[in-house]
Amino acid sequence: MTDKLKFKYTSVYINILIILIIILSSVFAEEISGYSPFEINFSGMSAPDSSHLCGTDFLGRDILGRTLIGGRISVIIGVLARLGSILFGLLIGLLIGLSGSRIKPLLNSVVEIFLAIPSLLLAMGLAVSLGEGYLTIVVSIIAGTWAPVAKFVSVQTNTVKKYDYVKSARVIGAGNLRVVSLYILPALLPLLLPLMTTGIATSIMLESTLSFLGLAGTASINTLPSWGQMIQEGSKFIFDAPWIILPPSIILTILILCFNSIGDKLVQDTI
Amino acid sequence: MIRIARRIVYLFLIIMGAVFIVHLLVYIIPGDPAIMLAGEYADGGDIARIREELSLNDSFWIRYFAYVSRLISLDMGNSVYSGLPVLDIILDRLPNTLLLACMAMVIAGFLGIIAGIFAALHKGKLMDSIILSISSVFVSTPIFVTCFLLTLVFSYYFNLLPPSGMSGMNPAHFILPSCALASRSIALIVRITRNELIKVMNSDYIRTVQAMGFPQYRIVFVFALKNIIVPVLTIILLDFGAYLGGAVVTESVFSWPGIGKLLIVAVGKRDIPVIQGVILFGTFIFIALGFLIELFQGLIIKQND
Repeated sequence: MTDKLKFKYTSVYINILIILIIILSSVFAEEISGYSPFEINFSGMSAPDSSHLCGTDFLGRDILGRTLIGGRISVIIGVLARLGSILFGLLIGLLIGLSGSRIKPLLNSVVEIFLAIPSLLLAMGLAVSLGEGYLTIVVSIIAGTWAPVAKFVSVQTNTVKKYDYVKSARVIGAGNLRVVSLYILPALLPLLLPLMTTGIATSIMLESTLSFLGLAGTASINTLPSWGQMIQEGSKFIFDAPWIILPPSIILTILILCFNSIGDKLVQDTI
Repeated sequence: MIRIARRIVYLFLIIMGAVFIVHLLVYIIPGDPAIMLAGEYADGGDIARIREELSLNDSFWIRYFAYVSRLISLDMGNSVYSGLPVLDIILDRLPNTLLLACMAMVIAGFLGIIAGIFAALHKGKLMDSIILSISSVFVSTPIFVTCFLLTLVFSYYFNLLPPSGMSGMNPAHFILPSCALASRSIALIVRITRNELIKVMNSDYIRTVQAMGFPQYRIVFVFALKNIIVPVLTIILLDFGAYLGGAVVTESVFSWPGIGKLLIVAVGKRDIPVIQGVILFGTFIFIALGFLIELFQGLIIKQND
């Protein structure tokens, strides 16, 4: 039995390990690559060789170092944006689930409206109107992704609040706050975990797409590179120097894949 | 009938809500659009004139209701740069995006259903896990990465297909963009086909047909597939809405003159009426598709009753 349990989660552990490796290597990017990711070298683009393992980009910067350090932005923005959208969605979802017949239709249609606007288009619009910057990206991703969470939470709350143990708590005289924090939230949390991991994958993808489209701010020399932006820069030289876009593309896909697979595994278990 | 009418009224309200939110977005854009538009050499009079033209002096609510009332008569305003009506520009570009989306839908539907059936019939075996792993990779690859990988492989290493642009109806130009667009939804279709088919194959009547001695391919294609049409078609149609988002990226990579490219260019130039128009148009298409899916599901369910 215990052996089976161990094997069941092997893939999850492997995925977590890969994510940790990506995070750690983004912290120690300079030490691993041996070059500063910001150091400009006017020799221009060079193909991978023994001194630059992944080659250099059009400003002669070391691609390995930039790719590794790019993980910082993706992971931080991905996790923060997802936390934000889960918290906001949870709040609205609980409100819908517990509110009376007056506010409920109103809140429900707000959720419906946000479900209807395609998330990338909404995020793009927000990125234009809020101006450039990391905070904008986080807010745009939250705006584009909170509605499904709210919908999910409201449906689940509706189910949970009809359970006998919640009803009996009500009978004893527990107020809304007590019922939510002691009875409903604990029932919802295990369901939110897979939502969190697949959601981080979605946020990372949205973040990279926004920065690929040039909406994450103009790339100045000193700012931390992000993968989307590196791919954008490299795409101009795709036929002359395909090595520029390959490392960030591959690591980005691997990171998203890891979060998605953890989410898939957890969904299989909770359902 | 009444239910359909009520639904339409509700969806209309949802669209109005979406208009409100998009309008709010535009309202909070920092900086004075009039100053940006007037350019460096404009004097105060020019700026005032532009402000008047765009009715930037009015309050938020006046502007919102003015926009809604014009929207009802199908007027989305004019592009700030070209001066053409936004709706005309969008409708002009729409066929290109639809062409891409339809191609992608056909590719994704065909490959996804075939692979899904294959995986379901080999459930738990090597073939199943290979197909599922490949589809996880597909779902996790950002669409621009797919675009560049396809370009690298097919137009650089093998030199088979053109890397970008559109020339009339030359099919060579839309193979790569539509494959890129299809890549993520193939994976979703594979999963839904596989899971639904597995469910159906375990049901009693399939066991009955099996006991009657029909060959396996007839059981799958004649008896089982009929029962997974609704969920599979639903996901295919829903993805059609998602293609609009994907089209933004795909069209900008392949410089395909569709709605997505239009949005990117408008965002670059801060052409607000066009940005607003494209986002709303996308929302409208998404809502209309959802409505069609509901109607279609209703029809199927009625027929089965």
